[in-house]
Amino acid sequence: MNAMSPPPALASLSPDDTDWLHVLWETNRRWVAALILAHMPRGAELEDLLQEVAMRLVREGLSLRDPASVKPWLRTVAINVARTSGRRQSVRQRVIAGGAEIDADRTPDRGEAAGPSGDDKEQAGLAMRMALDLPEEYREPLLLKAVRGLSYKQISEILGIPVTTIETRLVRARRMVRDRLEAQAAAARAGGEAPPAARRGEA
Amino acid sequence: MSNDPRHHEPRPASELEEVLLGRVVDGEATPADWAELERLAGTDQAVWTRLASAQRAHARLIRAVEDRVAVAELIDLPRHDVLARIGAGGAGTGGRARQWGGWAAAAAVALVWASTSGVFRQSFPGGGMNRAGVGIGLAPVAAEPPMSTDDYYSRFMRSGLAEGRILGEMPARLVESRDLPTGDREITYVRQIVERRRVTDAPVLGVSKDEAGVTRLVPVGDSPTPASARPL
Repeated sequence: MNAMSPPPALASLSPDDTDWLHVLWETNRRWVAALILAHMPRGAELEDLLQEVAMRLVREGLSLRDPASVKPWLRTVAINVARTSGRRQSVRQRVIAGGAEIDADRTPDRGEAAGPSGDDKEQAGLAMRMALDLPEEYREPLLLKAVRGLSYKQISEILGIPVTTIETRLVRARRMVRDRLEAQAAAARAGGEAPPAARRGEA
Repeated sequence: MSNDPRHHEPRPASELEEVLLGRVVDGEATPADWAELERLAGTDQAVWTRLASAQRAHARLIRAVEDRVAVAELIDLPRHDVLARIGAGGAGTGGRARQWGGWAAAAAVALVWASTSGVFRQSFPGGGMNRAGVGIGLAPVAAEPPMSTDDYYSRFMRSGLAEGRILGEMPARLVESRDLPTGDREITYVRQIVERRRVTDAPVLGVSKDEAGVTRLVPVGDSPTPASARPL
């Protein structure tokens, strides 16, 4: 794992201080949200999952003595919370369906189901869907890069991989999104159905 | 080339342009990157078109992601002692917190009701008692200067925490988020305050369950029920 320096506001506080946790949370919660977004099933509520991460931080965060361990810890918790929610949701969906399995992963969330109100919003929604359909190793850095202010270095600290790998994955992620959008546009021009986007986890 | 380790990574020639475009889009390009990009554009002017396209695509994704993660700004850490008091330290914290979330939301509704029904106005500057005689935990306000809503809220929270009447504030819940023409963002949210009080004047607040079985505090008695206290 790369060494990380705590944010300036954090450096002045002791890890024993509960204010330390608050600064920590406020400094990191946006990328935590993006990471949850990258891993949660589409029917889940981002807000609920963020609250679960926040509660975990309050309960366990004071035991994080080393500031360098904070980001990896938050990442692990965020991914676990998102995946656990996916398992819970899958079970619930199966119960609701009375045994007929429903693919919770494909259920659109509220934001996407709301429908675009304009072309720009529609394009933004399409970009998001394409990003979410990428394999995990490309989806994570692409969504994190879309959180304002995160540099390659910061993303590499969060994901625990070298900056060069982050850059390569971003290039490939964007190429995949571009290719899929072009394929979709070509299919639309031909009057046919758009090819199904690759499912998560498939290269 | 700079000392940037990225430049030492050998890359296929076909990737070079994409890498450079990516660095520009991401605000990571060095002067050497720009020089290399200009060299490429010298032989293929379409590079600039592809750059514009890449920037547009990234801007769209930023907008989509920022729309979604904006909710994070409203999720504050619950106070440690609040979690301990409501039993969130053990298993099943999510469910317990949600259970309490209903009460907390009810408390927030009660707060809105109190503020809209004149309870606060009657409390200031006389201090601390509403018309029903129930202390609401607000210290007397010194004459003027005018205070903002945030000031009042902050004072309410501080005073309530000091008295033990307020146990803490749960993360706010986002209701709506939208862009404004000015470039700002407007968010609508519900604040959730966890309160504890001993009610000696029973008619002030009642407990009822709505059709969904959610327990709510509702004002009863001769006060007309404000819209804010009705089920949504």
